[in-house]
Amino acid sequence: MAKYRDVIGGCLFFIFAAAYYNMALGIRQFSAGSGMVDSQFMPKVYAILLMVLSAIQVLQGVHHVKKREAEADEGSGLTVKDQIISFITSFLLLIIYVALLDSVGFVIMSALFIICMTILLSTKEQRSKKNLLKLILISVAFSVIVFMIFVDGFGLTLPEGILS
Amino acid sequence: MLAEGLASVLMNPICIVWVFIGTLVGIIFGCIPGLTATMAIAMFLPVTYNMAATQGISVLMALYIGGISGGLISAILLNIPGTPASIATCLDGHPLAAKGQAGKALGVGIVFSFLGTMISLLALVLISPPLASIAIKFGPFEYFSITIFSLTLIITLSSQNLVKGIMTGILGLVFATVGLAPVDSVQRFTFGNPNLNNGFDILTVLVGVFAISEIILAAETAHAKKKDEGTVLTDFTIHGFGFSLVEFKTQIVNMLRSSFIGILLGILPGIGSGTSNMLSYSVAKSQSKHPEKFGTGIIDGIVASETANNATIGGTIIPLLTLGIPGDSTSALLLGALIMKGVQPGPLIFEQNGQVVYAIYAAMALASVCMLGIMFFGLRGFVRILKIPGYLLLPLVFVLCTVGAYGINNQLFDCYSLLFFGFVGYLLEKGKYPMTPLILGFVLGNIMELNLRRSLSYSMGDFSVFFTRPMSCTFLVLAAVSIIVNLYVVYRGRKKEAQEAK
Repeated sequence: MAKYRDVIGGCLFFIFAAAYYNMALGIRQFSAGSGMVDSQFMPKVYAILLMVLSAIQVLQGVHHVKKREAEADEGSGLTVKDQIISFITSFLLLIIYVALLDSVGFVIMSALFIICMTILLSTKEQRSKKNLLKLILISVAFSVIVFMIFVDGFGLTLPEGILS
Repeated sequence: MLAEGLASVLMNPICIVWVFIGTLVGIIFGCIPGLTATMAIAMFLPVTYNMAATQGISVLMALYIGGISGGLISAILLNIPGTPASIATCLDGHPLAAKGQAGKALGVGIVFSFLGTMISLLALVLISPPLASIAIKFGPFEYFSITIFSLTLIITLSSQNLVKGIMTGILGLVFATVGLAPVDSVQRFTFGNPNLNNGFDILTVLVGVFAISEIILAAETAHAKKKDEGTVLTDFTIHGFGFSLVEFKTQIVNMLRSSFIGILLGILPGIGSGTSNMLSYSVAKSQSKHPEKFGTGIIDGIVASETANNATIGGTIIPLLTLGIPGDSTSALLLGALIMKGVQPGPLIFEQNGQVVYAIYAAMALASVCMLGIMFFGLRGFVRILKIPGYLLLPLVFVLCTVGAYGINNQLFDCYSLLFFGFVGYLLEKGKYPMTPLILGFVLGNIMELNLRRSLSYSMGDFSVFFTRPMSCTFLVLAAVSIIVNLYVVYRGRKKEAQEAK
């Protein structure tokens, strides 16, 4: 996987740049004014530069793969499957937190999020019952204090949710 | 205006307390590896939303100074730099601490951090007014050329992989095009979403790319074999400042040189404390009478690194105030905060908002003094903080980031863009793309395009004006020189590598 990194990255960048160029063509323009430089101009320049550079990167990447057939993985001891699973769970957790923030409220969601995320980030040995109790206390206290400081102290509005 | 500005900070007890708190929080963020001064400022922005301009900006300056200074604690005691600004501090700081002289290492680091900030403050006070009086004559042509020059420095930031660095730089420019176009306000890449009309907020981009991706990556490595976290050296004593007057005298030249390097790199856009500490260290080593002793635990190395990284603070503020051009992510946040307070940085700032400028001076001086005191008296407390496990810290930081993002416009949309940039940052990190060029591109993109289009509408579409106006031409020539020099350095580095491989 690691040895194809540059090829994959370059391809993704190229696809993105091409799509961006295509969208840039759809920008409305006013013919009057500063000649060739309108609102499409810079985006098109960026897209073309990005396409050229990503093509170079893909070529470099292919060259690299040929030269060093079996480059060792970083030795992080992680399989691709592990990485994808942990990425999806942590990212899902972030999305759920933001998505429910408005309806459920800042205090409850933050406390739940801190508990779940900390469990996800810690190792099995670190998850004793005593630690879990401490964690729940810390997360609830933290959420309540942050809410009070920002809302009462600094006049910010944060979603109150079902506690309102 | 001078008296008014200074008094608004120094004679205002509430402001003094806030500067103290800002410095303290900054140091805490600085000393914890993974948390940086920029994150501290990003998280504290919502706190300043309802403050007066002078007070708000004073807190942010205090966070900045604290954040850059705090990194030395973990660099010396843990051998892990608390922020990128203290990378070179590890090289001599930790060996000295390992020799049983941790107190001396910390004392030197703290005192020279203080001196570095004060010298750069002096430079800021002396350089800004004349620079502003030159800059007042700048038109869009000059501003365009300055941003082009700034963008060429992306190459310096990506010496590891040139192509990738330029790619992320352009990606930053691409993200900056989202929203209403400059000059004619045409909607671009908004997908019909009115929330995107003003483009992405710098806070969401910064925190997303750096902090969120950090959390996702931490989740991955949590279940792999445990990383060696290093042990904190806890037994140390400091008598006085930890070093003698004789030792101080031997470092004066080193201090002045390192300050100069720090200030200069601070003024140059795109290059911040993360680079200045390393450059200053290597210059100190090459100029030293005993270069072989570097790395074994001598105070010269600590002085070079810690003076330079703090001196960069004053340097960075110079173009921010006088030109309104942010040189790095931290100053981009400061720029946003100033504009939100109705202060428009640029050559006219001394006339229109002089009291804010003098308040910044006062806040910097006050924060440096606070930093000196807090670091000396609170060292044992910071050592404790270093023991808080990362798996608890990161979720707490994320919650605070969300508060910051939500606070921008009181809407969830900004939290979603935070996640989006977290995802982008994660992908880039996985592909081993450097992140700093992205921020520089994003920060400078709109300024560049706006001034390009303004210039061309003045000149009726004639490009030659950029070369016929002397200042504009100078910066374009500098840009060309910067590209050539950097490409040569990269080329030479590759050649050397290839030779060594043989």
